[in-house]
Amino acid sequence: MKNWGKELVTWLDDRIGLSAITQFLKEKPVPQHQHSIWTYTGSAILLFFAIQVVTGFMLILYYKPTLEAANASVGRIMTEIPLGWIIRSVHSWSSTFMIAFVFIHLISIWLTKSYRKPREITWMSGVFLLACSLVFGFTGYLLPWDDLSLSATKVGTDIPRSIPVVGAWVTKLLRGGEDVTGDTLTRFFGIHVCILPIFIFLLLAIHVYLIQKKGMSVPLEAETRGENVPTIPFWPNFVYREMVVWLILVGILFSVAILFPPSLDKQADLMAAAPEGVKPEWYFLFLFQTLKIVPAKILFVDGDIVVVLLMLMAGLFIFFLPVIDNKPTERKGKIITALGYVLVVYALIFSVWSLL
Amino acid sequence: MLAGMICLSLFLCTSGWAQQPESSAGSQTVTEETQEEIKPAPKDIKEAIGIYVFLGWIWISIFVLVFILRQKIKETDRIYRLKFFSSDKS
Repeated sequence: MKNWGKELVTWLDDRIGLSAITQFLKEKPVPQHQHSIWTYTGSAILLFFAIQVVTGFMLILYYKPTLEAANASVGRIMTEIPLGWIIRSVHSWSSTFMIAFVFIHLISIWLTKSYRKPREITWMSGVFLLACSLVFGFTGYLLPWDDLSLSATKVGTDIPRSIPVVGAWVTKLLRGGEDVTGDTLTRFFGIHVCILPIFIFLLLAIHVYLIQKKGMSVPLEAETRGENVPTIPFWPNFVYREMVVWLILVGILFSVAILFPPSLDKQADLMAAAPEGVKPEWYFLFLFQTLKIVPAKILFVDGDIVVVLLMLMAGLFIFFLPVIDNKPTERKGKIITALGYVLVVYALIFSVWSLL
Repeated sequence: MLAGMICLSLFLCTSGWAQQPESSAGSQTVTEETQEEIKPAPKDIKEAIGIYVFLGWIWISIFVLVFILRQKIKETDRIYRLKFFSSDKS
């Protein structure tokens, strides 16, 4: 059995150069320092994404993306298909955990300034990955086609309308028409299972390649002082540590999915008024609350337009952060770090506020 | 953990996850049920017990695997330190 395994490895090595990859992984150094715990967030995101792909494949066997059958097919998955409710629950919770870890990963990179030269493009590809993750969540939320998801999608797709000049066109593009209808459902399904996966795999390939090429960063203080940071090899030392984290996360995911599975509301009624207390998914709550409290007019401009434009500018700021924060040890760098803390506190406070 | 996952996969396959035929009676039941909120839960006591046993199995497997991995981490770190210091001396 052992010989057979060794022969297979040799056969693969002759054809795809496997030993070069394994040698690279054995020699790749992983710095060990006080911020090392944040290095596990990246692989946690990959773990949850892999779970999303697998459970998504299983759900797509029975889901029907049409106005008449979407809600019923999800109901069928939950009531007739063996353990279908668990698969759907794992898919739903895994998306929550994945997006949570994407935010944690982004904040940790921001606060440790790991985006500094020469890792600017790694950061930028990461921002695109965050955007893809949020769009995954937004498009997936409509697919059960119940009252809550219809109302939340109506509110969510109405927000871009506030963008000057192109707003109405963007909303029409998202909805496939003036209103949220069956066309929107089919469009969101296509984006969720076809267009976004292509983008995310390409971006992941770029992101992971750049991480291998540039290596993992060390703390800014250590780099400034020219300290030698101790390292461990990626394989097997760091991978064993990552496996511990993965196992615990899988355990938590399955426990939460089994104990707190999401329910399914009745089929969406296009003619009915929005149910009370409509809220988007948790990762959009801070934006939702900001739009709720902003005055109708700010200096003769619609409050909604001001907020949407501010959010777009914030998105651009975040994307170009490594270019803006080109001198991380100086005063500007410290202000940007403080801004990171402010944004976290703002997002947390406004998210909790919207739930009260 | 691997044994648990294999058992779950076998359970899913034998219960026909990938080959569930569409039944008109079943669809009608689902249509009626979708008029109200559907709260997911195990279908019967057998499924409920199976699911909670599976969850218990997962956590026992996790504890065992984490223990094994911690031993492997200690061993690989020790080997790495030995190699590191011996290459330093040479």
